[in-house]
Amino acid sequence: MLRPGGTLSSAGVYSSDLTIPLGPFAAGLADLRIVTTLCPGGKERMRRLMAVVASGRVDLKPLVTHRFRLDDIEAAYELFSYQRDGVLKLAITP
Amino acid sequence: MRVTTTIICGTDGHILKGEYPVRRGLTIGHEPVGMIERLGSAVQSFQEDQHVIAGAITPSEYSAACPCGCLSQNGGGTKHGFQAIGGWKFGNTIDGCQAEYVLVPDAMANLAPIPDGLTDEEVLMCPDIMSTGFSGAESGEIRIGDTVAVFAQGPIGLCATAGAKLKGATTIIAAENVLARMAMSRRLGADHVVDFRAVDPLCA
Repeated sequence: MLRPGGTLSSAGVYSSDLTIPLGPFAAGLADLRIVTTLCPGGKERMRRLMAVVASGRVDLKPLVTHRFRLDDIEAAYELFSYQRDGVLKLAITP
Repeated sequence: MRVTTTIICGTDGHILKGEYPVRRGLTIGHEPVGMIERLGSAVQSFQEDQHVIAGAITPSEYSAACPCGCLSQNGGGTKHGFQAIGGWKFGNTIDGCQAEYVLVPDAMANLAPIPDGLTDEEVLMCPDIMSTGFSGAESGEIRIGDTVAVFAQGPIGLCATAGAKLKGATTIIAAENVLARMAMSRRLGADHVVDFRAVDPLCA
C-alpha cells in the first residue's frame, strides 16, 4: 500500500499484537514510516481547532446525526453501540 | 464547568462493555462543551458563565512529555516525566463529563474560550474527534501535492480526510462501505471513495 518513503499514520486503537508483512515492508529497506497518534489536547490545540471551525474551512456539524437528553443516555448508548439509524455522532444535552 | 453539550465516543462503548476497564462508579465521557460554573483559586483571566471547551486529553503542560510536544501524553508523576496515555484523565482516571458538571484539571492549561458566534454543536467535535482525525493527517506529515489513502470513514476517519485536505493533499482516496459515510467523505474532501465490499481497496 505504501510507496517507498511513504508513511502509515494510524489513529487506531489496537487490542492484539500487530505483525508487519515482510514483502510490502520491503524487508525494512524502503524508508517507510509508521506513526501512531492519540488525541492532542490542551488549550492551544483547542484554539487552533476552533479557528478552523470559525474560518468555515471545515464544517463538521453534519456529523451530529442524533440528539438525546442526559436522562435518556442509556437509549443513546444503545443506538450508538449497535450503530443504528445511520448514526455518526450524537449530541447529549442536559 | 457546567456541561451544556457532550457526546458519546466509541471508547465509552468499550468501557461500558468492560473491554477497557475503569474504576467502578467513575463518571465517563471526555468531550465537554459548556460554561464555567466556578473558578478554582489558581485560575486567572477566565470568568464564570464563559463559553468554553476542554480537550478530551488534559495535559498538565508541566510534565516532561508536554514541553516535548507530546500533548496526548503526560507525566503521571513518573520520575522521567512521561507516561503513555497519561494525558487521558476525563472518564479514565477522574470523573468525566456525561454529567451536569465536570471539574477540569489544570484548568489554565486546558480551558479554551469558544470564539463568539460559534454554537455548542459547531465545536462539539473539537475535544476529541477532530483533534484525533486531524492528528492522523498531521502525524503523517502530509505535504502539498501528496496522495493520501484513508481507511474507514467513521467520525475519526472523516476528520482525517478533512485534515488531509487542509494539509494540502491533492489526491485523497477513502475506503468505506456505508453509503451515508461515503457521501460525507466526498463532502469533506475525498476525491475518490472506494467501496471495500465491491473491490479490494489495495488494488483499486
